[in-house]
Amino acid sequence: MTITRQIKVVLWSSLLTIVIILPFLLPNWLKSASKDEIYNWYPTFGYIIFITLQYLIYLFSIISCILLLIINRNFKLTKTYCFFGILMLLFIQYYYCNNYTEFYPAIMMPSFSNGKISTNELTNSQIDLEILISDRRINVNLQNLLSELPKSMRGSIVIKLSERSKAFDQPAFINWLYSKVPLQLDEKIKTVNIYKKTFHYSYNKSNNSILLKHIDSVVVNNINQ
Amino acid sequence: MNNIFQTWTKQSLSKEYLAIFRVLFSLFLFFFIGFPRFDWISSYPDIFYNPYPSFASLFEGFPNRSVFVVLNFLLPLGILFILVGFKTKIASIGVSIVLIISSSFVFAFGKIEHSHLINFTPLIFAFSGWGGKYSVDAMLQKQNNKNVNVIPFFGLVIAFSYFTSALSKILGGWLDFEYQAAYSYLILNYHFIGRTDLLSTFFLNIHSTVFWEIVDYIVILCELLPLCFLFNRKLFSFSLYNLAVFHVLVYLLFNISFAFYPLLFLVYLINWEKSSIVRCIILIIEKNKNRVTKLLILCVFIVLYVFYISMMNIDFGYGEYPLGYVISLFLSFIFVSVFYFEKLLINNGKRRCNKS
Repeated sequence: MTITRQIKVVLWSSLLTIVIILPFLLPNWLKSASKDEIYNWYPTFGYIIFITLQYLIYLFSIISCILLLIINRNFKLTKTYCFFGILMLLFIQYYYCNNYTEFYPAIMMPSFSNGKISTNELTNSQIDLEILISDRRINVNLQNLLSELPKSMRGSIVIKLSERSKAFDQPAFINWLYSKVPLQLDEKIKTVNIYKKTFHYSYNKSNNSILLKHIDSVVVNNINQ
Repeated sequence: MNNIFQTWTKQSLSKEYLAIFRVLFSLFLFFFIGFPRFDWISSYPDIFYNPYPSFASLFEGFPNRSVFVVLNFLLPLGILFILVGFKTKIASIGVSIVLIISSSFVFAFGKIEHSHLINFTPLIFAFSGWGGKYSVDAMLQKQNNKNVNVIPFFGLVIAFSYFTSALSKILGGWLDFEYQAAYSYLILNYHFIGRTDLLSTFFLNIHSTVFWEIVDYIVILCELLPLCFLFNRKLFSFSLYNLAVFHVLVYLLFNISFAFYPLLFLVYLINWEKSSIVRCIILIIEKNKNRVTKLLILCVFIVLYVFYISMMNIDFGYGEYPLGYVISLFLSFIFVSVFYFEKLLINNGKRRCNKS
């Protein structure tokens, strides 16, 4: 084995190792990048060293890969390396999106991945607002207020919003409600009660209808003006 | 195997064919997107700002309206530049960047819609030299000879995109005989999202477990095949045609339109060298070098475009999509079908010739 070949083998195997362990490390790297961990460095000092080492190995592999591509004059081989490199990156991207968090832009199609939906146990969640004005009460479905957004996005947006219930406390939310809910000029919003309602249905095949079984209602937030 | 791989990496398109694809793509983008508006995003308070890791996560809230007004203006301008082939490379990269930035702010509400294929196409083809013919750049002889063969890479991107969808479905239990996933999604779409148009009611009345289980398997197969047949030209184009049919069926059943996705498959579905339609197009373009004819074509295009823009947002009662989406989907499917069947005929003729 010539020296060049040996170097190649070492570099490629190190790159391959890093590429394989990257999906497991990346979430930790991202976590370590948060300001709190760096400020409170003492308890996690060893951890940060470990992370830094991993960074260095990864950087080394990328540089060696680029150098190899430059040194390697065999164009056919370079093409093969490129193809497998891209394919590997695509797989890592998929693995990361599937297991940790999605990012954009990513080469992904809509997954519709939940394939185990029972027609006897269909659920639909929505966020309802009960707005109290001086002498009347308005009930609004938050989803319907997001009219500019595509229909398919509205449901999951409001559910995610309800998970950050404190978001509703901001005055900007009430101001936005004024622009969306039909109010008369002198009317002022007094209280907004926000509920997350989960409707449980079963599907009736004979007449293509859904039968409501029960509703779970949870208070997300109460805003008093 | 190595030979198959090397043949695959060598598949390329000449400047003329790339230029035809450029014109088709930008025309569809023009007709599909029209004059997009993103400025509505800034009317939402920052409580809705919940971005995934993306360009939008660099910001702490929705940017000022003026940012979106600039994006509103830049996008059609960039597409127009691609269409006429003026500063094509920069325009193509620019259009992709604008599309990615604006999409990342739309998705900053907390949900990613997967429309990346259209956003990436100009970026990928920017380096292919698709502005090298039938363009202002060509007239001004501003040609860049350092072009990259992007055809194999574009194929890989398409194939892998659908593969991710298939793999997620397999992992999510679509192949489980106890559940009929496609049927369940049809019910959810119909009753909870209100997608009740076209053939959805008809298919909702089909209660056969066997039928829906077969549908589940076919869906996964359709999405898996392009990556499996990536290196085989004939089978790859067959699997892409399947996907084009799949997109039309998804619209008819689920009322979900992926706009002109089938058009993107044209690169692989046309027998560019032997297609009589492509030859006719090239002949027409090359014979009509007269400036008056070009001006006339431009005027007709502008009139048609203005007429179309005035109509494209009309809700015509078939699903949640405006007319523009639906026309572009069906038109691109018709294009794909015509070219694919022409390719099949050519291949059939070739086989007969070889036999005789």
